[in-house]
Amino acid sequence: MKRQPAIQPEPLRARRVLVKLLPEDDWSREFVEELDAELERLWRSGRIRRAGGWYATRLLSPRTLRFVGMMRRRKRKGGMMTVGARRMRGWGAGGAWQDLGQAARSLRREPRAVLFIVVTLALGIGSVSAMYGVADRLFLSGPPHVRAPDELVRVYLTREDAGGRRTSPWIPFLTATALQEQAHSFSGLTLYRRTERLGRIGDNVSNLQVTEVDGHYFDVLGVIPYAGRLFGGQTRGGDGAPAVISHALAQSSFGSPAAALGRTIQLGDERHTVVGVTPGGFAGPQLERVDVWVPMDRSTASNRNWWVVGRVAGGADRNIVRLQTEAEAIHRRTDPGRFYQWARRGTITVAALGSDNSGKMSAEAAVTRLLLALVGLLLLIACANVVNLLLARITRRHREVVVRLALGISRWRLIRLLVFESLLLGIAGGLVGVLVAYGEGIALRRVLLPQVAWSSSPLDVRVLAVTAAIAIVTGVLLGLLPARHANRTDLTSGLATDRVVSGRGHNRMRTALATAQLTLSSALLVCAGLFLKSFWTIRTTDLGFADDVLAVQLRSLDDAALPEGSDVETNLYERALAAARSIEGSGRAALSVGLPFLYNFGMSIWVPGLDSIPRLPGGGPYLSAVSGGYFGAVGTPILRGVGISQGDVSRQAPVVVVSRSTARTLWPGGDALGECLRIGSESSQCLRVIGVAADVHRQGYREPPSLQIYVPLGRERGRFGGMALVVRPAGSPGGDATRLASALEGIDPVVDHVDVQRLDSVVDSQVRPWRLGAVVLTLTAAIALLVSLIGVYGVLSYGVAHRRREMGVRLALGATATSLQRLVLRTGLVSGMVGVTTGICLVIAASHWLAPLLFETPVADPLVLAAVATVLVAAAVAACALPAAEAGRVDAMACLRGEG
Amino acid sequence: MTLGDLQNLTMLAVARLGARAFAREIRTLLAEVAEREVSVSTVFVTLTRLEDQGLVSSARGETPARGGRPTRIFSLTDAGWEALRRTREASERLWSGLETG
Repeated sequence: MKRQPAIQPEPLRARRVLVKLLPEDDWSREFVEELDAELERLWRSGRIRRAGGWYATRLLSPRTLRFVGMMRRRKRKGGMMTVGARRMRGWGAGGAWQDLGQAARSLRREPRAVLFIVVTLALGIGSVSAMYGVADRLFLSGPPHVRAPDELVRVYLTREDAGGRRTSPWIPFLTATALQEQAHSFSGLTLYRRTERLGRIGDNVSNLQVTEVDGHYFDVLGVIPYAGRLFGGQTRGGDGAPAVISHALAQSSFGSPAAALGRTIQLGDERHTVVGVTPGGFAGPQLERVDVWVPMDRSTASNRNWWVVGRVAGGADRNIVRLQTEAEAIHRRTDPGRFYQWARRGTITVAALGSDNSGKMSAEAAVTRLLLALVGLLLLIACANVVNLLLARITRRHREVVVRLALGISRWRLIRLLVFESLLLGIAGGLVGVLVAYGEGIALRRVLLPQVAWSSSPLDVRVLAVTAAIAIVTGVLLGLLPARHANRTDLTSGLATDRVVSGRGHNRMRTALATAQLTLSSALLVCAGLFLKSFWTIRTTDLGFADDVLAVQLRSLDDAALPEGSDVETNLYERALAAARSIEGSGRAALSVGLPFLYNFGMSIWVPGLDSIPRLPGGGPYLSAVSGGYFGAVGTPILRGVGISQGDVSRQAPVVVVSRSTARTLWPGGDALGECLRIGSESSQCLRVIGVAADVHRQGYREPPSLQIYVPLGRERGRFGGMALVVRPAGSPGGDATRLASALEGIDPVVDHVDVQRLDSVVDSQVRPWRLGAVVLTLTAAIALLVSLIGVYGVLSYGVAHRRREMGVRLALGATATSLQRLVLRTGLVSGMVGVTTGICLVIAASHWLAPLLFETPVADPLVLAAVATVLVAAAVAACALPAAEAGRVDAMACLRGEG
Repeated sequence: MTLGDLQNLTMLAVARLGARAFAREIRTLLAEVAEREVSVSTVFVTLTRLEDQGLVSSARGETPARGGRPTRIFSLTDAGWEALRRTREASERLWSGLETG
């Protein structure tokens, strides 16, 4: 036998590792020296060829690892610590920093998995944070810059009429001031009303959102000015009165808040001096933007209705009943004035500030609350997916866990190490989630909630704090399940086998998690489908006019220069009509006094043969005076007879067009054409019905039918005024609005501003909750579905890899590749079907909360449910396709030889 | 306390070797007399465990067999002798009456 040369064991890597792992004492040193001697002996006898390989085998042998563990435990309990052990113990709480570093290094080894986990978590955490930011503004923290918003309440008047029970925030002036003077339960009460007025700042004329307020407004709200001062007490309103402007207006019109102080702004024909600037984002007690606050003009205040907000020391919630009783008693004994007797029939109610115009939680707030809960589901899905990945990871790292345990790491330390890993993932997810929250926050604000006055960036301190809290809690919770799994590792059996051990319970847990993801995804998909259906239903609601109609109003800062109902106004609008027709074509423009969504004029009517006019739930009769070609221009179909022609207008013919509901109500069972109708007084001229037009919505999407009547333009003279030009553009409405405005701007020096708006833009705000829900939920559900499918794919693909040997045996026993594929596909299909069924059941169980947020869509809408079931099951099967193909490629012989 | 097979053999080796009862000698004795080939790790694990159990004790010493380098010399404690005796008695009780070929 050939004699080997002497060997130097010191440089061997495995030996160096062993020396590093062992404590520095005689007994450990002796152990290493004995191994060296053994190596030398075997080497010299030629029984081994690779010294490094032999040492590595010794190092990894269960006995050696056990010895190392025993020695380390010995030293930990008493004795001297090694340099390595000291390093392991580290600084502070038992080597927490070292464990964090070790966790980071461990994660760095799997960059792709880490990237996927971080992105998944970021989407979940970021979405929840962005939605929290919206919820915070809409209903959680109350209006910004208002002191103690939970002490504020709004006063409502609730009336019963033919249309049912209606609640509105408009209170007659005398009732409002009586409440202010006599109610002792309030520590302060203020009156205000919001209007849109034409304003001039420098040379720029534009519509400004103006709030007229009484002298208590700023005191009751407790706002502190950003610059200058606020006004209060008995400040006189009208021309020459002080004005407070918003931070945004000061910035855009004067360059800075300080530069705005002392400057003059013109609202209509009144001039105001800017005395103060409010903090950025302050909009008073409501959400919508306000540009200017001016003192109320007491000479005209009693002719108007006002909004009333009160402050209650000690919080509003506990005192609502007492407040309501006192306010109602005052309302009962107060005469609201000659023209406001209708208010006496109503009752006063008091509700928290976050309520909408009808005293309930606003639709936006309600939808946002639901969305917050549903994006929470997205986070849950993301977490389930990440837990699954971490479980797979810990299974792959079984050997590492066993070695660590054998080396003497305590179970607590092992759990801590794994929790640190997930904590780092959570923090990384949170950091990227901040970017997601910022992007989503900006999109939500600009696209879906443009009417809200936002006070700060989408990433304010509260949102950041919530993001951090979610990231940390998520991170810690994510690590617990894998840590529990690792903690159950049995050292003896773990050391005895090289194979990755993964029990059936573990696989069941992963499949259950994947199914749970599909369940939550299907719940999200159903909600998204229901909101999409609601949105679709509302968008396709027939309002009675074409959806691209533009309403044009010519406005002057000086009301006296363009009086409503005057010849000047008529003449000006006729010239505008001619100009519009020259641009858009003759049949696409008309004039009207009284337009849906803009002005509605109520008039009394008489019908021969009827003692009284029946009432409809939508109210009326509402009158519009229109020029020839009006019905064609706005796209309201004439169902019978003819519309009003220009000849009727020129001759002031005694004719009238009624809506279908009007015809059916006034002449039930008969033909309305040719019937007589008197307007204004019983003795007025008889107007013959020449046509029946389709019903038109006047205020909103959800609207019961009302009485609607059209007369030739000119017949409204002396009764009501306020003309508008209606135009149906030939091209795209957006481009034509600009073209029309610029064409009409120079039509007359008296015109300071041409106001062009789409008729349905007024109701656009009513669509927002459903648009918000549909867009956010569709995106959320799509992300959730994608994440869940990746989860299903991961579980199945891992399952196939793990069961290759079993599949090999099945093949050897006569199974075919197709049957193996079917096995995998069946697993996915079952998961998908269980997920869909459970998800749908969850949504139906939550229908009590969901149904009020939908628009004419039942929670169990068969179309939505069928679509969701099809999409989800198909997607689940698609996710199984790759693992199934993998199962079909299993080679029986290779598996049985242990190579598969 | 009765001892496992390997523990029993190791302790007997320690008792027989006396002042020469260090790891390499014990391993050699087990191989030559007891015809039991054990790895270095096994001997060290067994001795460490016996010491942890208080059945043997060790002291620092030197031996020419290791080139004068320091080594742990093992000896049986009273508890070790007692355990060894009980194991032997148990074994003899079980053997009594059995014919051996």
